[in-house]
Amino acid sequence: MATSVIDEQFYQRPAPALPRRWARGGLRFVRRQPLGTFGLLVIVLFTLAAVFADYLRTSDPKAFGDDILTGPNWTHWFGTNRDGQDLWSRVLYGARPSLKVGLATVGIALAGGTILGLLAGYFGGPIDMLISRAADIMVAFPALLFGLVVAAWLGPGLRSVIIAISIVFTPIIMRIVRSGVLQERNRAYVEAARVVGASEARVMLRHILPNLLPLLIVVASTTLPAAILAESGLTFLGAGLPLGEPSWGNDLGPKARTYFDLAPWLAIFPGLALSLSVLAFNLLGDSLRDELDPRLRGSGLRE
Amino acid sequence: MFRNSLLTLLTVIGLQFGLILGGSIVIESVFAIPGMGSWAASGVANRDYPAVQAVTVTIAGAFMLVTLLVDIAYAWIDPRIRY
Amino acid sequence: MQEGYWNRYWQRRLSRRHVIAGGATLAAGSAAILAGCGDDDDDGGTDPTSAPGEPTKAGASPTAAAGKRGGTLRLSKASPDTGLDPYIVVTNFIHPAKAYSQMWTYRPSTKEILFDLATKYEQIDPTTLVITLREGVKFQAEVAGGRALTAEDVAYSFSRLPAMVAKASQVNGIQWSWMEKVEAVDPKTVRIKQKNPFASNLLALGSSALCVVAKEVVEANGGDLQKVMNAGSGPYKMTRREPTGTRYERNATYYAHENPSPTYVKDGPYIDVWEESIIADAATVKAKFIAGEIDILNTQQVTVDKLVADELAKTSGVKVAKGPANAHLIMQFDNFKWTDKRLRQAVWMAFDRDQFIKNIYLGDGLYGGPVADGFAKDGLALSQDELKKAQKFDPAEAKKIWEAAGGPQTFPSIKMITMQAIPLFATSTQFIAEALRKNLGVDVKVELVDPATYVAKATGGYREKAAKEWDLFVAWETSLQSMPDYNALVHYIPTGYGAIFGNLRPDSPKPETAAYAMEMLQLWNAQAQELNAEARKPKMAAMQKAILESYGPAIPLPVTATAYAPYRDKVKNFPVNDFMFGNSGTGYYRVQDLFLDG
Repeated sequence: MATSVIDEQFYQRPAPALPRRWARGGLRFVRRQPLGTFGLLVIVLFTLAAVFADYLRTSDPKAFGDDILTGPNWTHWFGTNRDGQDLWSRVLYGARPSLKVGLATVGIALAGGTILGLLAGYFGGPIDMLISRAADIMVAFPALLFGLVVAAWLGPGLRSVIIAISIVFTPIIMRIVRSGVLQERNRAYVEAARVVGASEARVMLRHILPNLLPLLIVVASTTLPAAILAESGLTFLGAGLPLGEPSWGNDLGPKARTYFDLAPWLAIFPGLALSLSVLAFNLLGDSLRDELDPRLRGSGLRE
Repeated sequence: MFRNSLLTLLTVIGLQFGLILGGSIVIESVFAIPGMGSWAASGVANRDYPAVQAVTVTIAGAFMLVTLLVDIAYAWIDPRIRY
Repeated sequence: MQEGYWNRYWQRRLSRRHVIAGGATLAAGSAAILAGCGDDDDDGGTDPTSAPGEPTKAGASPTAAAGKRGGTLRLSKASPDTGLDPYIVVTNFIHPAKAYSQMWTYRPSTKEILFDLATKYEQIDPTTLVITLREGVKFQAEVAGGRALTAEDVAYSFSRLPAMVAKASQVNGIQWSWMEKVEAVDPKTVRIKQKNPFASNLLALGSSALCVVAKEVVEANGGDLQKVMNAGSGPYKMTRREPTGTRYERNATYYAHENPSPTYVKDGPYIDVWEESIIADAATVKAKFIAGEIDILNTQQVTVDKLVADELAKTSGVKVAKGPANAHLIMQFDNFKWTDKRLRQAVWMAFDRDQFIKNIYLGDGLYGGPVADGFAKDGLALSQDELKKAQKFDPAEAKKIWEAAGGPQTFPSIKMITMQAIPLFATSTQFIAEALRKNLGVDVKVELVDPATYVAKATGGYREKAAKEWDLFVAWETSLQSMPDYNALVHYIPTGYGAIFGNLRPDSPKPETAAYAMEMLQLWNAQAQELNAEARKPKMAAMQKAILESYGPAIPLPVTATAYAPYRDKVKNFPVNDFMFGNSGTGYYRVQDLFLDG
């Protein structure tokens, strides 16, 4: 039995051609995870909206217009705000900072969390102790509060938002990766690699890491919506993107809020875009988890 | 049965507690509740660092306390668990 | 981080002292600050000497019917005060109005002088002013043992002003630098010897910055009242000062005004307690006001435009007073960098003021000028026609001038700073940034900062004669209608914000700027020292025209035409004709006939 594990995990099996494998996997995903597919569709739509905002917009999202606080109509599909800006265009452009922050923070936190998690889980002992306790301390601070502090320190802006949210998510991801490494560490293929004389770094990066890939994909897809929400929250509190920049958090922010009772569409459309994108990422994340790593089901990973 | 499911429930409660503490910042700002969260938000706006520090430390402390209580409750619910 | 923290902390303290307090107030404050004056200015329109001539008018106006004693009036404010010394912090309107008394206040709507500590004044000659004090005035019971307030106290207080200049904004100087010497002739008579004739001297004396403090308390606190809650004879005692808010309670031993006026009623003040909560978020303030948890809406915090005013007017229990607007919006150049007149001209011409009015004031706006529109009827401000002619929007010409003057080389990008606490600032800044990007093809970077940093960056570099961290900067002032040559105009002269915000200074290392500063100063002095009302008009006009023709050391931006003041209808005697004079004599926190019913 031990041999067969080594066979499967240590020596690479000839795999079916990638495109075919992906296509098969994709089809299976669509069949088995309709909700996840819906999420994926919505994400694709939002991504397209963000990328092609320049072509889909009906007017410049930052230009001051003449129609002030008009309700949804044929010219302004989502109505206009107090500055006469077209909400449809702003919602489109608002997808950009959300996705940017989401991808950037997940990228940074994933990289940082994976490295730290590998180190902690693989070496154990004092290194694990140090990293894990530091992570425990970090996790005790709510993301938003931490973001506020970072924004106060670095000044508001996209950069501080990304830094703050990355710092918050790194220890969370680190913990998950660490537990993954702990499970893998004692597997036979790792032993085998060591026996063959692979260096520690090689064992971690070439042997353990690829086996964590499903876990990382799931972690990424569940962290993304949290990052998007955190970005909107910070911008909403005035610690995020500059005022006037199209961003869902900004469009729901203090200035718009003064007019919510007069113009409910100011709340509805950016709010809907935000909720929908977060929902989509969550659905996709759940489905990916079920498909790729059923062990994580119900683990409260999303938090 | 209920006892066993309690364990998971406790974990979630512990995690949610932290989330809710963080969420209070936005919720209190939206609903004009004069709580710690809105105090922290206005502390940032006004560069009132002692206020922000106080809230940060208090919330972190509360979170740790809840985590500790959850851990103790584990052992109480399931005597097999030892630390 | 530590370093950043202390740095900012220091900047905040420094800046706030210089300027006003909270960011919000900055702009407004500036006007106000300067003036500190809220109260005093006369409408300028009238000849100053003659206006004072009729102090008796006060007695003539009917006194309001007796009000009801008791109750708590609840207000809001965006950020805590930066200190309590009325000679240093001139943006905190409520504190000097509650805890201190001054010679008199000025009521712009009727152009009356309303006597408080004084009962009479006499301009003996153009440079000598004699003031008679009221009988029976005492400090608050806990202040200096509740002893009588005498002419010596007035002389002592006014003599503090020059000493405070290191701690306060030099802009205050306009209010007191005309005084050469203040002396007590006898316990009830004060004589002020002036350095020069000053048309607005009576208005300046009505400023809340010129209140009377007890020498013992000042000395016991090291010469600075920044942390002292009570040191005067005012109608209220400050009883609480916390980051969450302040509280003032009625002074039981407050002296009676036997010749009452609408502001100083005989049995006033009526309200027992004033509570001011610090609430940073504007939407929260609005919600609380609608819910009845705040009695008077702070319109510096919550932008009340026509839409919001209409909405609030429909809310039950809310009244909305309407009046001519008093604010002045300005865009300051850093004159160290904008030495070439053509560069200023290009910016001047590059944005559409009609569009600005349409967007920001929903069409209900006026062209701005260096003097508030309210003075136009007195012949002291330029007419709308003249202002429109001088502020034409011509993007093509603007771009041509910009490029010819080397704008792209001098300013690869234009840096602006703004803050969210005053929505009008943020919106105007965005509007102008967009216009400059589009019409001049220049990159504009807008930095959003918190109020304290805003103030720090606005004033930063002044003492060091250093260039600013920004190139353009939007600010405002309130209470403009009181003193024609103060609140707004100080942004264009070196004795005011022109120097502090705009680096317009006679000692500028740039010779063009130094010469420009001298020219502005001379023009300002010429009108300020002209006591003849008719002769002053052409001098005021000359000053304003010089600003418009040289594309100003600052740009006047359009202003709203109507001011709104929403208040709960349980607030009675709300000064509906004077609320718009922000920190002016009859702003609601000054009047003592306000009472609560229901």
